[in-house]
Amino acid sequence: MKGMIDSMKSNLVNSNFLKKLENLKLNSNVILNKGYSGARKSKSKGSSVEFSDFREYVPGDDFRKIDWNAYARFEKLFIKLFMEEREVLVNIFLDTSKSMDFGEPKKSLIAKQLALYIGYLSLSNMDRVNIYMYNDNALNDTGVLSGKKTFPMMVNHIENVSSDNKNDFFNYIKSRPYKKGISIVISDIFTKNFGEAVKYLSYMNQNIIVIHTLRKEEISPQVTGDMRFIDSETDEAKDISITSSILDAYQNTFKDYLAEIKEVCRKYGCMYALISNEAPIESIIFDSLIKAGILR
Amino acid sequence: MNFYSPMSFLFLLGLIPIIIMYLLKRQYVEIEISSNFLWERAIKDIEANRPWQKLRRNLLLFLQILLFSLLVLSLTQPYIFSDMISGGEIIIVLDSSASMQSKDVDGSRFEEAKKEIREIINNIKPETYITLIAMDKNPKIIASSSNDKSILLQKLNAVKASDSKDNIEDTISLIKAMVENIDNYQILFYSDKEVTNKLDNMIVKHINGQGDNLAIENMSYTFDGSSLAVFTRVTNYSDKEYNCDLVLYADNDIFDIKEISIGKNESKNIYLYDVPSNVNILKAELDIKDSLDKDNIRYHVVNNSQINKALLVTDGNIFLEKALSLNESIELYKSNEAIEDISGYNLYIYDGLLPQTLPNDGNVIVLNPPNDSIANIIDNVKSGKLSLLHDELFKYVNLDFAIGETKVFDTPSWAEPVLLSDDSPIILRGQRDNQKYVVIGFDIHNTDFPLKIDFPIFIQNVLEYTLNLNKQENISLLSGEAINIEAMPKTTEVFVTNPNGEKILQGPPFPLTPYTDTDNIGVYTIQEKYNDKMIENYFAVNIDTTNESNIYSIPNHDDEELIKNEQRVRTGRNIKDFFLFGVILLLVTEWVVYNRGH
Repeated sequence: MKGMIDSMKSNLVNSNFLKKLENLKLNSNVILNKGYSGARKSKSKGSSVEFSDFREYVPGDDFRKIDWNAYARFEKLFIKLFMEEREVLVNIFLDTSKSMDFGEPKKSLIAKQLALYIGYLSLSNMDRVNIYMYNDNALNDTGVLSGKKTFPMMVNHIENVSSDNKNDFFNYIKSRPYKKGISIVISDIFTKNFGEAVKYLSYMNQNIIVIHTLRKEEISPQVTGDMRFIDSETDEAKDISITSSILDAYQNTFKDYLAEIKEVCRKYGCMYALISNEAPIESIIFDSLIKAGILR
Repeated sequence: MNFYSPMSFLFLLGLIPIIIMYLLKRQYVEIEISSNFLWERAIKDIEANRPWQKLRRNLLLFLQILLFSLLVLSLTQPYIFSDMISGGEIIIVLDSSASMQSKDVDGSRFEEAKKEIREIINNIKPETYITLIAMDKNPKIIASSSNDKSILLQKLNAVKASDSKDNIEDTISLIKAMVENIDNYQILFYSDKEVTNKLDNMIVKHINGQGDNLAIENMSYTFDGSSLAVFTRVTNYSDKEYNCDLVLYADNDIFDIKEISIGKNESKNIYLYDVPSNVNILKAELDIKDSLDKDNIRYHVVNNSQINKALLVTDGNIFLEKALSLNESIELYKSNEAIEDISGYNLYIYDGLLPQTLPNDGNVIVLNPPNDSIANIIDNVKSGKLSLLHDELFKYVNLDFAIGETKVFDTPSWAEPVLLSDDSPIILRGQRDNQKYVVIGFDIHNTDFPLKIDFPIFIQNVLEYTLNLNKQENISLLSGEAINIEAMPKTTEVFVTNPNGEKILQGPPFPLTPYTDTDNIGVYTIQEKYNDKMIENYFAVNIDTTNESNIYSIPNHDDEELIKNEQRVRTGRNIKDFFLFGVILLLVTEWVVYNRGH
């Protein structure tokens, strides 16, 4: 397995870094009742190493689970109950619209790396992963992947995605149903449809994580003078004479915009992290995402 | 609102670059960004908060245009007529030069101007003071800062139009000096000339009509055998062709009439021959009715050369005799001894000899004086470096001669040095009483000067200086010019009779001061009383046609009409300052807008 990753010639993933990720997992309290056993706790008590409770033995129970030490103390037969760990479906929504194709390094690169690393740590936590992107006006996915052996396939898939789509990614999220699971949305969220999409995912019983990827210029613009901004997705031009008051207005708008996003997240119980394209990927994962409680 | 300097509106052209610069500035820097999503929202927010925000980027342009326009407006020096002004000073200039006598407006230009000024005087407010300046060859202040209407009117009525030319330049500088310490003033300039050099608060009121004028521009004569050939030049300053008669008078009698035809804006030279040479005064007249008649007449005095008697006292000087004999206007007498008490000559030339007492009726030339009786002889020296104090005696004469030995003088108070040898005077000239003296310190034989071709010229110069006895040098003047009357040595009284027949005593005292009262054209007679005889000389005063004859109208100014239509006197109040104040306010506004915008 390790050799397989090593043999991958990818700009996106660093195999040494992948090793560090194996200790992390998604901090999602998604409660699962169905599905194959995986690394995730389910409400069903069952066969797992995670202890949950004791109960008295009743005939028919698996006598292998009798706690003989308890029997020695209490002379009663007790059965150890364990949290049954189940696998969960992690849906990663990777925004591949044109707007992600900006910044140095590009937001799309950071987003792809994040998708892969989260995908990898999910795979290594025995979860199933499906990465959604959109391409040619349709929402594509990698298919449900499980097991680390499918990681190269994931890498391959993501590497070949180009960020030149001019439509609103969030419109496509609603185009299909999802099984209960975790949804991770990686996007710059320059859309009015974010709330709608989150609402839909929530309706689809998704535990939602929003990773908001922005470049520094979008967080605090440094331009001055008379500018003609051309929207990369709509090609619309906007003439703006950048003055200090306009910059102030932008800052206020930006604040409001973040507040709106966070409001939506609170409403639908999403976890949220804002990351800048300039931060190194290590610090994003080990610092930002852990602080945001997305990983642990 | 009117403008003192409407030409400054041309500065408005400067708006074009401002607008162009603004358009250039509006060239946006195109950049592709991920999304306009936030920018649009930001702009929308700002526009929602301030509805005029959209205008703001243009606001700076509007302010700049307004600011620049106001600046230009203030340059044009706008004024409004206002009778609110109080305690003001009105300076009125009345052009009384010859051209103002043109009759192409009601009465004459001069009368018309006077009429308007009279109206202003009649309507002044008690706290308004008027200074009247009459301008001909010089500006004359005829009433200074007065608000007494009767005195002003009286002074104004006394102003007469003169035949001399105007002097706008001096007038303007006089007014400039006058208004230096006055804040609240107004200048009204009544003239038919173009006034280019304008002052603040000055309104030029052109008084002119559509007159046509012909003028005799020039007149002179030459001796043509025993008679005179007279030349005149006639110029037509109108847009019409004229046919008229040119009449030539010789001493007040009609001598000749010549019919001439002269095209529009054309000059013609006319010659009249066989005029007797014994006349004193020539007068040419155009027989025509045009707007300005003063320049239809021209006078000229014939300078009859007369024979002067000269006495040469010498032991023998062939060079001097030859050089003197070249002058045909002298009759040369020679003597080899210095006779005492001699008289009856116009010129005495003493070469190496001197009488005990010098004659007192003619001019004197002394060469190599033997004693100190004429000027103190300091020394007898070998000549050194010659240097000339600019003098007419050495006109056209080179100093490339050498002098062996010369006497050096102590310059007497009546004389001035002409030629210096090592900075000591060796030739003097001057006038003592009424006698002219030329004193030459060296003997002609002691120099190579007579061998040079310049020597006869030098002698002629000396004769010219000493011989213009009974001869007025300058006989042709333009009205307004001054003339130096040159009296003879023994003259006791000098009178000048002007063309109006007024006889005025000019001297004593002697020497005579220049005669300046030449405002009227015509022939002036100089009478000198000399040994109980009256000797008459003449000089002619004519119009300065180059300045005054071209009366063709110049474009009327708008403000003139305006003032004419207003029956009340009003003073223009310069409101330039208000505009400048507006400029400052706008500048501040612009600064605030700019700072708030950025």
